[in-house]
Amino acid sequence: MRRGIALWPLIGILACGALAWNGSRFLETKPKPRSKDLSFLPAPVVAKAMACGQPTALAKLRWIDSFAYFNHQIDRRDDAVAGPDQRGGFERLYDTLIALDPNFLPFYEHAVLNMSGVLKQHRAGLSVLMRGLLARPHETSLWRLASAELAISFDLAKRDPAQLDMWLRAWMEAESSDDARQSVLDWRRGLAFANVDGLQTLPYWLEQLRSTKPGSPLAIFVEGTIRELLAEHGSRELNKLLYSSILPLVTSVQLDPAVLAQRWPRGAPAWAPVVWSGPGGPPPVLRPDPFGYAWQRVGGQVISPGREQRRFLVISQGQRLALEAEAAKRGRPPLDSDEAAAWGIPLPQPGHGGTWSFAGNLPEVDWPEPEQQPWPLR
Amino acid sequence: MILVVAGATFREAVRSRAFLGLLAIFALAALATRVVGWISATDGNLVSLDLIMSLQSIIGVLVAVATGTVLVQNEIQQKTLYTVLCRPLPRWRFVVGKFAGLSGALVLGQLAMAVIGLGWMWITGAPLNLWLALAVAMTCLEVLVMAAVGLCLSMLAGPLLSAVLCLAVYALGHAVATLPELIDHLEGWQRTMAAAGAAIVPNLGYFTFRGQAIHGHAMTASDVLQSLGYAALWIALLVTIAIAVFRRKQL
Repeated sequence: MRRGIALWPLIGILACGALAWNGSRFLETKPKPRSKDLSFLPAPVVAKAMACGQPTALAKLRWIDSFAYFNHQIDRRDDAVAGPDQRGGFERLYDTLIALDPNFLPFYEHAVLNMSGVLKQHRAGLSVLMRGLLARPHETSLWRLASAELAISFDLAKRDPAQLDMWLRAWMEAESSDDARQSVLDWRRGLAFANVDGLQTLPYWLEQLRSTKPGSPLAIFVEGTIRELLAEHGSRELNKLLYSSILPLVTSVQLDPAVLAQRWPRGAPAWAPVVWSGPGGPPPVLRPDPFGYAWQRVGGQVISPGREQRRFLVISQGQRLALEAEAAKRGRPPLDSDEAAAWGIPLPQPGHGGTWSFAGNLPEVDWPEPEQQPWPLR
Repeated sequence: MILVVAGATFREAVRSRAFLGLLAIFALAALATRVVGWISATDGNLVSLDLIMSLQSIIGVLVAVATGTVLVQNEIQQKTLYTVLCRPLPRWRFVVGKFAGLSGALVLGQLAMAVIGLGWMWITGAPLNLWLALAVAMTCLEVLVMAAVGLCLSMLAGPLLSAVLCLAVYALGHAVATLPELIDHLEGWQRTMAAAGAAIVPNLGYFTFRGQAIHGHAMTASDVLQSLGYAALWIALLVTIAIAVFRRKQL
C-alpha cells in the first residue's frame, strides 16, 4: 500500500507560520497607548440583568477596557459620549460599574481621579466618593480622597474650616484603630501645603497618587501633574532667589547659603528646588527640575524644561487632534511636519530638543532623556 | 438500586470527554486570569479571583448542561436503558439514581475547580478567606439546579434543543434576580406578564455570593438556609417533573 506524504512536518511549518504571524503584532518595542471611545454604556439595571450572574467579573472587565477611554480623554478632555443622557462618559461608566460591584475600591479611586482630577468635574467626583463611603464606611482611602476633595477642590479649608473639622471628626469616628485616627490628624497637618504658593492642590494629587498602581496610565498622569506643580513652584522660588541675588543656575556650582537662609531660615523644605538642611549643614545643592532636567534661564527667567514639554503638548493639542482626524480621513498619518503643513495643519516646533514623531495617527513628541533621575514621588 | 445507578452514572460522567475537557479549559483559563489581573492597574488579586469564581460558575453550568441533557437520551440511543429497565427497577428510581450520580460528578468537578483556581491564587500570593468556600458551595447549588433543569428539559425535548433551552434558563434565571429593579419601568399587563414569566424560572440570584465573598463579606445563616431550601425545592420539582414524563414515555 502506498503511503501518503507525511503531514506532521507540514503541520509544524503551518503552526510556526501562524504563531509568527500572531506574535509579530507584539514585536514593536515602543508600547502604544490604546485609545478609544466608550462604545457601549448600558444603564446599571440593564447591565445587571445582562450580566448572567457575573456582575462583579463583568464590571471589572468593562473597567479594564475603559482604560482606553481614559487615554482618549487625556488628549480630548471633552468626556462626550453618544446617547440622550446629559451626563459625561465617565459619570455614566462608573455609575454602571459601581452598581455592578459596589465593593470594589479601585472603581471609586479611579472614578474620582478621572472625573475630578482630569476633567475637573468635582461634584461628580465627590458624589462617587459619597457612594463609596455608603458602601464601605470604614475605608480609609475613600475618607482621605473625600477629605482632599472637600478641602482643596471645594476649598472647604478656607471657606468653612468648621465644616471641615466636623467632617474630619466623622472620619476619625469611622476609623477603628488609634493609628488610623492619628493618621487623620496627620492628614490635617498635611493641609499646610495649602499655604505654600503654587502647591495648594499638592495634597489632593498626593492622595490620588496613593490610589494608583506605579506604571499605570493613571499613575503616569498623576505623577506628571505633581511634577508640573513642583516645577512651577520650583521655578517661582528660583526666580525669587534670582532677583534677591545672583544665582548661578548650574547644578555643579555651589549656592550661596546666606541667600538661601533669607528664604528658608531652617533649611529648604522637601518640595524646594534646592537641597539644603539649613545654616551649618552641608553646602546647598541645586536639584534638577522634578522631571530630571537641568533648570534653564530663558529671557532672565528660570524655567523647567520638563514643565515646558508638558505645556507644549497642551498648546499644540488643537493641531495634534486636527491632524489625527485628518490622518483617520486619509487612512495614514503624515510622513513629517512638512506634509502635515501641506495638509493645512502646520505644527509648531517643539523646542527643548524635541522632535515630532508620526508613528500613530496622533502625532507625539520625542523628548530627549533627562540628564538625572526625576524626583521620587512615592 | 438507586446507588448502583448513581455510581454508574458518576463514573460515566467523570470519565466523559465533556467533563474532562471543560475542567482542562477551566485550568487554562484560571492560569490566564492572572494576566488580566496584571493589566488591571491594581495588584490584580481581586480581579483574578473574581474571574476565577465566575469561570467556575460558567464552566460548572456548561458541564451540567452538556452532561445533564444527554443523561437519559444516551441510554435510550445506546439501548443500554432496556437492560436496566428489564430488571425490577421502577423508573423513578432510575431517574433519581441518574440525577444523584450526575450531582456527585458535578460537585466533584466544582471541588476540583475550587482547588485548582483558589490554589493557583494562593500560590501566586492572593489572600484568601473562608467565605470563598461558602461561595463555592453556593455555586455548587446553582450548578445542581441547572443540572435538574437540564434533566427535566431533556425529557421533554431532544438533547440539542434542551441544551439551548437550558442555557436560556440560566440567562433568564439570573436576569429575574434583577427584575424587581426593572419591573418599575413596566405597567399594567406588561408588569403582570413579566412577574408571571419570572415565576416559572428558578431565581439563580440566590446562589451568587461570589461578589461578596471575594471582598470577605459575610453571608448570614438565614441567607444560607434560604438558598439551600430554594435549591432543594427547585431540584425536587424539576426531578419530579422528569420522573412524571419518563414514566409515561414510550420506550
